[in-house]
Amino acid sequence: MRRTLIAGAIVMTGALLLTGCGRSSTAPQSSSAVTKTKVSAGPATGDLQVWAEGNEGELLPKLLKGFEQQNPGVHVTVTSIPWQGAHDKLANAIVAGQTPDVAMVGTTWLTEFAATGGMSTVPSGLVKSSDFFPGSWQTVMHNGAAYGVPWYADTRILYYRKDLAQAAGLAAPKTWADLNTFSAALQKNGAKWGTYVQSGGQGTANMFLPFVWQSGGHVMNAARTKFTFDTPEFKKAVDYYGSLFKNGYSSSALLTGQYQSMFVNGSLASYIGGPFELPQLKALIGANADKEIGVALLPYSKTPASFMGGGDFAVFKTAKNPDAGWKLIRYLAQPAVQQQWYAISGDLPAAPAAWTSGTLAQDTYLKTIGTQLKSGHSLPAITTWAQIDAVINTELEKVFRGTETSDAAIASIQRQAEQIGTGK
Amino acid sequence: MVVGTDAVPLPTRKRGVLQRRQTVVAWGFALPFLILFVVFHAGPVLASLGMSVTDIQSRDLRNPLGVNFVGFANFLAIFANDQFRSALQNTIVFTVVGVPLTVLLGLLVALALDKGISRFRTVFRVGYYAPVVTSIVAIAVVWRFILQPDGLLNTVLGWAHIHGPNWLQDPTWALPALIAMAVWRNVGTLMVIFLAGLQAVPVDIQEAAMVDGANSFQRFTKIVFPVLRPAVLFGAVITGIGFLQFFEEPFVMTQGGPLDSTLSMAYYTYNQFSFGRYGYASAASYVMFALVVLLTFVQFRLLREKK
Repeated sequence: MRRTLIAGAIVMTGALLLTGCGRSSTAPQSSSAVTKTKVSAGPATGDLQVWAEGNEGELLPKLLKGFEQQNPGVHVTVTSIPWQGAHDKLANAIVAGQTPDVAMVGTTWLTEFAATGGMSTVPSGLVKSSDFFPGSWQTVMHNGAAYGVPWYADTRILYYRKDLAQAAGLAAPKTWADLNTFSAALQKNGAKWGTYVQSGGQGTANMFLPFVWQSGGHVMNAARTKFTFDTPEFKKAVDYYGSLFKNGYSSSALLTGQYQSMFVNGSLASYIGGPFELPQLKALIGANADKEIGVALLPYSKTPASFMGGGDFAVFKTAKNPDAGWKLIRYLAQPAVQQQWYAISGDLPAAPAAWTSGTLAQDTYLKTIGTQLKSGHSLPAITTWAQIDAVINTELEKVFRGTETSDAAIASIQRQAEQIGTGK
Repeated sequence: MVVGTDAVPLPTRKRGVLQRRQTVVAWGFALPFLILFVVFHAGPVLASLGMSVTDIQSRDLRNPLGVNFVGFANFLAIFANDQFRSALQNTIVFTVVGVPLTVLLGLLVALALDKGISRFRTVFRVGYYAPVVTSIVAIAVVWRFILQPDGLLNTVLGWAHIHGPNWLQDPTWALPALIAMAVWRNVGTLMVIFLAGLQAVPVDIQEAAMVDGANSFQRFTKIVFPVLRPAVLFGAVITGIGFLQFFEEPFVMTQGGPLDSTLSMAYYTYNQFSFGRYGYASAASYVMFALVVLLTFVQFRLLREKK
């Protein structure tokens, strides 16, 4: 009896304590409250702490030698953090107020961190938005303000077997209809699958959304306040993507971990992949790589479009040396430095000016990739996107496995997305 | 140091002082443990209970008290969610099929190793226990080879002219495949517990029963099992708790797919945490906790000592 009383008392005090708190009606970080700062003139000075993920973190010090030569008074320390768990590490650092000055932030994370109020806005006049691919610039925007600067870009392109296509008398597929013709012809010539798109699981939405953009649709309105899944364009994309499975052009079983070797041995005639796979494919094929690997823009129905990802650089609110941080970011955004970084890491420059000279302008594969970047769309920069991404994965899988109609799934995506909201 | 009992009886007041001093010393000794317990165990448990009745999200972390109290809204939302309901159903199927299967197989293996097999006994013990101590990542690699469309399992089925499914990609077969894998992984633990339990079965009573003409089935049900009952209860409870928290297998093998057919409650909760919905995810954890308590209660009821 006494114990129940005590337990009851604890619960009651807890409840009272909680009702006592409550969300304040004004968001702590509304865009109007943002004060625009300016970076000082002259070179950067002082200690500068930088965090960068994975391979980028390992290689970044090589690139920073030039920055340190230009700014003799600065001492940059780069800490490399593994991609695995990098998101949580950054989020925790923001909460604890124990951040470095500058960090490389995955393009899909920046809005979330900006929403917590942990990031600084880009000082006026630091860079011009027109210096970057539009898709890249979209990733740094939150509530109408820029919270970072694009650094490198990532996109999706179509890999196809050039030799097999030539044998069938075909060029690279340009449109959705071409992709059907291409798949049918190459399967007739012995390939098991004409192309490969994911039928479900993580990554399905990312592979599917370009089809929506290609049919002229968008998943949100321009102001990013409303979801527009229940549009004819979205349905058209779902139906076409689904027809790839129905017509037997793509395996509906996931080929995770197998599709590259299937592409190399010719049983898979084409697939949608990232530029980072090119060196891997070249190594797998060997001497004949240039004859066998073809890179093409993603086939489209109305307008060319692809996915845009990559990495941004941002400065934290709790940075001790924000001035030097922004100067470093400005340095990294210069086209010549972007080219230098491509040479070091293979990461694709987010600044179009870097694509106008050197290898990036000459190599046939890279030229195609550079063209695709111009039509790259970033994922909606809202804090709840990860949740909506999961909803799309789940609902589309039902359509592609034939347990639900596209209309029902689309209605369900729209309803669930509205329920989840944009996170303001 | 003042230690306990003196032979000479002390005046009452002095005894009171001594007792109080002893109490202080005792608390002093207990304090390091208590601090660790409160900070790292009780604290998070109470904090998550508090979170489960608020709408706290990842963006509130800088100001965790600036959130709204929402009562049981999270719990209502959880039970209204289709995905959670299918995760709940998968978890229940997994537990209801998996636990009895694991206990039964563990018992059979323990009996075989105790009585049937005399040669290479250690080899078999190591063999059955090895999956328990092997990393789930290594197990996943091996089981993928076994379960893939042209893998070991389907090759063997092919000998019997059975066309096996693509186990991990088939919404009907993915969960059974994971149940088989989990049972295989956990049999070793129960085998060890039951082997220890079997040491306590009195040999002389068994021999007496044999002389009286009891067959081996009768000896098992009347003598061996009653002695083993506490071990079976313990085994069923820890396996039940483990199976209700079913997470690693789908995480490394299927990511919850296809069509959410291997999505478990723990996996669902994990996803909600990664979306930053801390309040909602805490509520889901408490639903899971309630289920663990319920299952354990049922098991104690079913397997308790019969009077």
